[in-house]
Amino acid sequence: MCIFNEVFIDLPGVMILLRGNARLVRRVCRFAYGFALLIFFIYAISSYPSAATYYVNLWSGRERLDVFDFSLQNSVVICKVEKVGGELRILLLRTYFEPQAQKMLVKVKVLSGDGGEMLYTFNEETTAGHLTIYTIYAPKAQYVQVEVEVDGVRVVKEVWLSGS
Amino acid sequence: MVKRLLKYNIKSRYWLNIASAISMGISILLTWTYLMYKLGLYCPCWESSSGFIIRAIIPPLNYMGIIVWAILLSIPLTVNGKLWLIAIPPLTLILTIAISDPLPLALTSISLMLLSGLRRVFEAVSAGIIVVESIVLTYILARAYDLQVPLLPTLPIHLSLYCLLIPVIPVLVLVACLSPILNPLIPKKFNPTNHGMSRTLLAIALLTSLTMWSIIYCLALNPGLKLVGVDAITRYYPHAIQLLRGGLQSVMSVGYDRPLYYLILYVLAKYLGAYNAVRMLALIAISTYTVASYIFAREVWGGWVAGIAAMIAPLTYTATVGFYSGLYSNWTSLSIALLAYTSIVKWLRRGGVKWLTLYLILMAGSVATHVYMGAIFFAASTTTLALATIEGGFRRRALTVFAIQIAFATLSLLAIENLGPQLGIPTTRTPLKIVIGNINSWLRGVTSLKLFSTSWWNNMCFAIYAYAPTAALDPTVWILTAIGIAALRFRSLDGFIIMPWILIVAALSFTAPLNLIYRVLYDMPYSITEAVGLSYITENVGRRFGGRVGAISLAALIAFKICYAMNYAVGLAF
Repeated sequence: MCIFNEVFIDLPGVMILLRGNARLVRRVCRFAYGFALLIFFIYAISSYPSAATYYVNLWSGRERLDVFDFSLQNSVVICKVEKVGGELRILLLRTYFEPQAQKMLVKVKVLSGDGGEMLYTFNEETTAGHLTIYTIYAPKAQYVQVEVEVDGVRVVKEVWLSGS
Repeated sequence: MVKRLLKYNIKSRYWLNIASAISMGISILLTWTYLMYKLGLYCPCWESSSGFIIRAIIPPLNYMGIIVWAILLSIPLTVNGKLWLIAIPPLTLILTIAISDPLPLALTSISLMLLSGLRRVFEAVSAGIIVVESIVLTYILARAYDLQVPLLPTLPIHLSLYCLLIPVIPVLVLVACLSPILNPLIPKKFNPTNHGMSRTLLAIALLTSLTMWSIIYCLALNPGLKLVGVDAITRYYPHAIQLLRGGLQSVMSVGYDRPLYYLILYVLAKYLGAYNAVRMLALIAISTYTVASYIFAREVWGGWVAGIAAMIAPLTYTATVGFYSGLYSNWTSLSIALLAYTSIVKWLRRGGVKWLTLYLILMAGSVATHVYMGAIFFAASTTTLALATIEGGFRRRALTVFAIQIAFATLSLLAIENLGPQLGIPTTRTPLKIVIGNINSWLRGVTSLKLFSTSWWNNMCFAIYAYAPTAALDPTVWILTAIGIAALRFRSLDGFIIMPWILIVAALSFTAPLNLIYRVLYDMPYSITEAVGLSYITENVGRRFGGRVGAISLAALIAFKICYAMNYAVGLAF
């Protein structure tokens, strides 16, 4: 039995006055109480969004890779290479396939317009669902080859960059 | 045709119906994961070897994945629909391959859901969750115990179940803390029916507790068998060594605010060594909490709720934060408080000096195990007894124990104040001085506090998101607590126990300094409130959709909680 029932049962005078309408009165009281609570909660959480913006990176707003960009041939790693100004950004998204794989070896080969060749190697622990971003300063890069090996599974991505 | 065939084979129909519900449920869950992926949501996790990481929600779909999805869709369409519907999944599959996106499969799943009715969808989703979480649990146990079993990539489906609620977890905590004020809005109050199985559930719960503990100390994830838990490393291990050097008399000086606990630590360290003693503390805390939750809930509501409370105990906020922070003495003190409440319920209902005596001993034990948790328990139980005097049936007994409790506490505080220095307690750290010091620092903070302002929310967000990262992100803790407390009867013994407790925790956590918010939030027995909420929901679901659906939804929620807690424990072990 809800608290309103108890209150109204305890007040016989009120019950006499509202005889026949007790259920209606209870409903009205419950609605008014619910409405007051709603107003209170709206007031209480009105400042929450501004505080929560500090933590927004926990659930959103990060770099995103479209896993269904070109095909359904998803492998243990999805790779994307993009050039932003003079920098190369290599985005590696570890998918949830082969969940036991933990070690990731990344080899990046960059060929520049002036004939130069640069090789980079990254070796690290990887976790399913984790996005890793490598940034390499290569303003004259024309060709990038990214070779990723996750516990024996190899993914190779080659990109010719235009406008260099 | 399939329907016609099944009409004559009841056993096959039963199994095909189950298969149909499971496959429909998994299809709906895949659609949900796909939707979360499209929204670009991430899920913070605590991961073994990497620590805090942000995981992307990606549907585990390649060519094999979409073929499996199409097969899953074809089962409910064939079993419950017309024969021509069997053509839909292959067509959707072709379309999916053509556009390289599982959108057609997701839309078909949504259509199937809309055609099936609420009861069927509820049953299917619950069944789907049980299957998916079982696979996730296999993955977790395989990682923990280095088992060579084929692993399926179902983890993102588990993460997608709660990632949408992560942005509002602090709001859910607020609602849970203020849940007594929601009480008048719930017309149908909590009135549990007993379904038996309580001892079986307790046995499973104890096994779960042991598994949780063993995961953080498993060789595959923690090859060096390093101690896990902030306090375990920074407090209990060095203090255990100090106790072994200083002997029994050093218990009071080293552990002045938790002497009983340090006595236990001393005894364990003496017989097992400091390192093993600290490891044992975690096992003692989790198993004591499980048993205490069971005993308390059995006394108040009966065996069924007790079994659920025991099942939830090793999987709730108390366990995840307890393991991360090594809050073993708070945790044990909370368990003793639950046992003390059991004694007082027995005393109020039936009388008997032994229960009153046991209550006073356990109350003292709770305070001596952890003085801050004990103080909150003392405040809550005093309020409980004051409220119990309202009820005619309990008035005389409640008044008696209320007076004894106040006198007992006053005399104990005065005695320790005078005898403390002789016992080895530093004169500046006697319980009375600790309490007064805390009240003063609290009051200084309260005067400048602006409740529900941006700075207040900043502190709350820090306590939820940054402290023991991701331990508080299981939304079921806060939702079930809010529902459970709101569903209790206002003028009943269970209401008298739980409501003052949460209101004291709410008042203190809302006004606490930044570094104490989580410690106050920790002092609530969420296993109990969650068990009430869970049995309330499943009973209502059972009443509306049938007992089988109620039981499946209960199993689904517990399966989710097992995976959340065990996945967290796996993350801790490194």
